[in-house]
Amino acid sequence: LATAVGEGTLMIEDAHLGSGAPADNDPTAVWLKQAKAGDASAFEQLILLHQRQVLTTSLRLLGDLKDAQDASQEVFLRMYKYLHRFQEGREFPPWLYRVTVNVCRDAQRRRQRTATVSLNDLVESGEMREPASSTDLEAELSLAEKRSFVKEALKRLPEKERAAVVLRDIEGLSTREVAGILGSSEVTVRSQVSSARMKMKLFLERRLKRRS
Amino acid sequence: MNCKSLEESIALYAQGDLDPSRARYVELHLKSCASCQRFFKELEASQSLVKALADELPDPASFSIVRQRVMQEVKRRQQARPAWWRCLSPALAQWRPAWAAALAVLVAFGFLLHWQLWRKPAGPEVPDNPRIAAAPPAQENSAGSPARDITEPIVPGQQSSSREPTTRLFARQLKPSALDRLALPVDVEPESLSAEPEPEVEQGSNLEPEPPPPADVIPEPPPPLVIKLITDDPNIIIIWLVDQDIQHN
Repeated sequence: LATAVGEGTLMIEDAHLGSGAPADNDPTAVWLKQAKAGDASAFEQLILLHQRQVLTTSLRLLGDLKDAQDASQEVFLRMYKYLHRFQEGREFPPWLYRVTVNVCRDAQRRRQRTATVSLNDLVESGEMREPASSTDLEAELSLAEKRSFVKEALKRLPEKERAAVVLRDIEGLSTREVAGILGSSEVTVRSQVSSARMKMKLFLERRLKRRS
Repeated sequence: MNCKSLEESIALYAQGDLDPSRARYVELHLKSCASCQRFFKELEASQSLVKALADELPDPASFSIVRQRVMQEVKRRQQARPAWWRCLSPALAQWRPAWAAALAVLVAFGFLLHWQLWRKPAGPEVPDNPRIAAAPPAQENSAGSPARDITEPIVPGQQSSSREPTTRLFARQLKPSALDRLALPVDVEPESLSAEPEPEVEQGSNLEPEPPPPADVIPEPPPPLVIKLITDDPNIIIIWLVDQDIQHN
């Protein structure tokens, strides 16, 4: 048991997201079985294994750490409530991603923090049609600025495009996995991802132009 | 060629999201179009910024805050459950297929038992609403008039052909067991009920007159004629017992 706990703790940073059936020695499967039987410490190990996935995804979808923590708490409590419904042999991370996306979508709708102008509005109004010169953005911006701009751009994306681009480009999932998590087709995901990439590019160029 | 229409494909090509044939087409176009090449490079730059966000992680304290809050809530929910459920739930979770199979067997057995209990026995049964009637004594009929078919309801003040009675009269000879089944507080002499039962009579047919008993055997008194009066009120049934032996004498 101690070995399994150690492995689980070490895997916090890189919970696997690969496709296919989980391996027999998959720590998630071990803890899942015990957590289903009502073992609270096994459930805590499941949280340790997947907290990075849940909290960072929530943070990128919501753009605020406190909101992301609240959403992550809700995700894990839903996981606790519906754990018995999860069929053994299926992959756990995609299921958890789906719960996370749903909880964040609900949180987003509840808080209705849409006072900021969306990227859609900026593109349609023509404010973002003027591209910046072919400047190397990475060279121009500091690391903190880069991150803040990207976060702002993400916040302004439409809900579905944001979810698609976070899962595909930041979490590094395949288009097929993203489609499975969002419950849509691969064609739709590709369309959402390409639209989001172009909007974010325009937003970042605009920011850079304003800064210089 | 309209380069604007290719932007979406270039956005997908930048991260390897295009199928090979479309990717080859975009690649060839990029080699020949400076404008699209610039767009592609800008897109790559912005994508590298987006991807860099994956390296940013919240501080470890943020993770532990969430975990502690969740575990507090989990323990509170576990303690809120009844003790018997806390004991049973691990076993239920572990042996779920076995429990499901046991429940299925139990349901099947219950269904079988229910079917056996409620199935009607195959033997002769006194109908719920008997219309078998005893033939009236011959001397009661007036000469020349046809004998009344007392299987039909008798309505006071009306002819028997009327089908809208307020009170219906049925008469039959009942076996003592049938009388017992009525379970009505009828004030009847016990001797009359302990009389030997009549031979089985088919429904709808009048009773055949009994053959005369041998001379050296004292005939047993016939069972009483039972007249059942059914009123409109289902709770009121009037049973009228007539000693046939006295009547004949």
